[in-house]
Amino acid sequence: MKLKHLALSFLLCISATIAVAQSKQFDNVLKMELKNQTSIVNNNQIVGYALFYKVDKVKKGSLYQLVILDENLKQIGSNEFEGGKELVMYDAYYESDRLMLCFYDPKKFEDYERFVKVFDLKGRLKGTVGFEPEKVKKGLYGKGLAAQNELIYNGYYNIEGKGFVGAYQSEAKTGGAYVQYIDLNGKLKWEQNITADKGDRTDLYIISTTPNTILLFQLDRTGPLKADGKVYLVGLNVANGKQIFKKSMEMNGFSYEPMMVKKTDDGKIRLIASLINQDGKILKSNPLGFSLCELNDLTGEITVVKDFVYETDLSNVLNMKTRSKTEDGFIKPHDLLLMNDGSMVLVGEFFRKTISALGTALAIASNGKGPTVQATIDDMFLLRIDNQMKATALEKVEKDKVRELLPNDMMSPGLINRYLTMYRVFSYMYTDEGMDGSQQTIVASGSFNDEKFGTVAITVDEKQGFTQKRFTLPKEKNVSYRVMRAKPGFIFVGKYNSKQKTYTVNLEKMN
Amino acid sequence: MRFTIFAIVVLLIAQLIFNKTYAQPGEVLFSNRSSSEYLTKIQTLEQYKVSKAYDEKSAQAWYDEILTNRKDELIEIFKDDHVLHDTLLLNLCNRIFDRIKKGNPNYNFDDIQIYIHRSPILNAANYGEGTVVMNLGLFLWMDNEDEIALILGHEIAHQLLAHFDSKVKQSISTITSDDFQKELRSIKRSEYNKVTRFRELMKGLSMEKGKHSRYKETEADSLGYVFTKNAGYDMQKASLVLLKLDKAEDIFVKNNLYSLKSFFDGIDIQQNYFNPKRKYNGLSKVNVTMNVNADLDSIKTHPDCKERYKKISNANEVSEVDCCLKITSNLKQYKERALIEIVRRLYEEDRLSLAIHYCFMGLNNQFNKEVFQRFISLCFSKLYYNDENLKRFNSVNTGARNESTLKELQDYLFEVSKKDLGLIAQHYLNLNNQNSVDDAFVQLQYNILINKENPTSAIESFNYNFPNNKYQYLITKQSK
Repeated sequence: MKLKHLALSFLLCISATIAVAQSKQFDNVLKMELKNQTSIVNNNQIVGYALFYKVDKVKKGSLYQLVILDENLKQIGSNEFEGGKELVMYDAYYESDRLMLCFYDPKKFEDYERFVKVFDLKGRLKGTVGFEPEKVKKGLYGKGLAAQNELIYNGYYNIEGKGFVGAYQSEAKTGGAYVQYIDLNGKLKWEQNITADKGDRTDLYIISTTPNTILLFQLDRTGPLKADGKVYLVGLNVANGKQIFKKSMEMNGFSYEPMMVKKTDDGKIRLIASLINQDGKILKSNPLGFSLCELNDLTGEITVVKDFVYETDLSNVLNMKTRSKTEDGFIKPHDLLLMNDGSMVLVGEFFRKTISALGTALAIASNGKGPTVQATIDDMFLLRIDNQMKATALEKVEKDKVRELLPNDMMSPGLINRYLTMYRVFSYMYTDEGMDGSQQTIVASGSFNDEKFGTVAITVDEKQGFTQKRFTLPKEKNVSYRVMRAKPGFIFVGKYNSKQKTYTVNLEKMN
Repeated sequence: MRFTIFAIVVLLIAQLIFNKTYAQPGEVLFSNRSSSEYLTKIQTLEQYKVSKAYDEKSAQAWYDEILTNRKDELIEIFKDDHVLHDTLLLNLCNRIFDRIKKGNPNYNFDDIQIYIHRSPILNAANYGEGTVVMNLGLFLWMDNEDEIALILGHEIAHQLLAHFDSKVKQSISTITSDDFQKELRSIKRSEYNKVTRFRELMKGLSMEKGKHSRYKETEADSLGYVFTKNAGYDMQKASLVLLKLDKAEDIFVKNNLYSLKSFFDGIDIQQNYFNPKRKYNGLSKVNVTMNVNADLDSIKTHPDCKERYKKISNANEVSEVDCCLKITSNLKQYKERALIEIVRRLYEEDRLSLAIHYCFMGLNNQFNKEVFQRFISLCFSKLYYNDENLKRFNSVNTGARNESTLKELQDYLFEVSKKDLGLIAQHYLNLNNQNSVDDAFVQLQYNILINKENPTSAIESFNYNFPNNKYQYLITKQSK
């Protein structure tokens, strides 16, 4: 450490000029993990950014600097706090002038320790709530391995005017989940353990929250490799964690798998779900379409606005070969954009199950053991639906094929879909709904039109047509980048120079 | 966009052959930049050797390092064109300086040289070896020579009272003291809390330095007052400049400086930028002040401006001054010169929100319309190009304060579509389409950056029509 140079910087303040910042740069960064920067989310929108890095070694671990930036990268708060030797921050949420930052200590990864800290916007710590490791029982592959593979789910959301909710998968083998409600002062108000009805495995994900209800998607099945399963939409009372409703999502001959909840300007809660065959369940499921529903968050009542079945409702723009397969392959729906004029755009990608030359060669070499099939992910597409609920056009966004060897030759399209989503093989990253919803931008990564791998923003207008903008990050020695979601209309680019010990953050306009 | 090596070579040869530029009738002249104008000053600085001041070795080493750093900083200022040789502003300052010299014959002012710094901030500085810089931003808000005289007198007083030297010596005395060295050695040896302990140590030094600086400022005020008064300036008028210092940031932080929308009237662009139906509120909407634990006042070097005003003017009450929301027409030719040079500097440095902000201030306060309209077109052409090359955010972001006019402009420039950037550049280009070198340069930039014209042939044609023009340095800089 060059103490003399640091001292000089204190002594040489001769002229007093105000520097007007152009991009944000942090100096004397002892060690910066690019994963320790995250967007701050409120109601699924990015409202700012949180960064933290190690500034000093202390007896029981490290001293960390927390920096809070607004959506334009202007620093609004900062503070220091002590923690384990190598903390990792992986999520940040905002509600009513409070931030909830989510951490884990990789040194305690085997114990699956997670904790959240609630700060005010100046960076003052209000409270810490942990998720105790003993609640995780050893599973089929051991909880440590499951956590390393990111197979253990953590999900968080803000609750308007009230606080935050966190959900943790509690057992790697037999299922179940813990849901925690943390108030604005960083105190644990209640904790709820949710298990499957018959003690079977439960997968549980937070979909959204309203001021009254925490909405969860629950999938119960008899075991990790069992085909049978049931899908539920669960509502928990924000005040006490009690279950308000547990609604079976098997309706009208379909199984509805909730994809997302959107709150529209008219105050309605829209539930978007993918449709699979009711008899297919997990291993034999086939994607058949998608649905737009209205949800009453107090009763769990679901009103189907429209089921869009690929074979019947969308056949004017999709050439179907079977009930679930188009000429271009199976469909992975990512998002249904609800435009201001009442029209909608389904964003998806095509995928197929193909024979893998490498897999086949390996199978021959190992006397028929091992998988021989792969998933081939094809073009993205934008499927336009007018405000009369009629499909009007399908626009393809061409990109290079991506191939992923599958673990099992017998996987159904529905299971392949889950597998590719879990391992983030699809190009789609997220949708940016813009400042006012008139333009929405889909951010994707991959090789588009023979250009090398990179990030692409595809902006969809209410009318037909879309524009693309590429973000090519130059390769430089000692420099690493992180691209992530930013405020509406922008993308966040962080650049860490390990040699100069500087970290520069920047936003770029997407359209 | 990269130009060919051939084009660069042609430009450099052209610059070598024509090392002087000639103005055309009606052309706005730019002042010469320090890297070419102050070669002797740069040479003198480069040859500077630190003299012996201490017998004790470590104290001398600190002294060497601090003064060498000062030298390097000054060389950088001159070599990197942070200073201008602006004859109009320099003549004004030197005329005032001459009057101060005549009014104070008992003082020796021989070491003092005045320079014009390109900073837009209302400020001036003394570097301790005779260099006094007056910022361009200072001239925007001066309404009479009395005010300039007081600022100049204050900086000269710093030099004559050897404040820089005394500040350096006081710091060295603290740093080389046994206690300080002992703590420093202990920090170096320690395994834990190195940074925290070092920061604590330096915080003490900073606070000490802050107290020392405040005292020195009061001392410079007193001698500056004597200089200015002896030179016959009106001290009542002059002392108002101290109140203006308090408002120096208003141009960046206040609202209603101009009507943003009015500058885009008649351009066929989307209008929803001005009436956004936003569902979105980021953290910038929340009023938070920075730094939870920082005691900002503890390191503030200048004493309270209102108190300084009262002392100098002998006034019991503090009157309101008309600053810094509009640029008045007093000393207009100096203000206009400063404003043009500020905009040029900001444009060169790609700080385009600020450049446009100053252009709008110029237009709103009836300064040279043609010049600022041209710069607006240049800025929007550059923004269009920066958007395509992932540089737009950096050139727009100013970290502006909530509910300020600058923030309104910044947010507008964040939001406006690329197509509309092109339309705005074209609109302002069309307002002044004469056959002057200035208009031709604006057209050239539009053609290259937006219309994607071949840069080599476009520049060749421009140089053919306007040989030896004042924009060649900018073209060379761009091509790099």
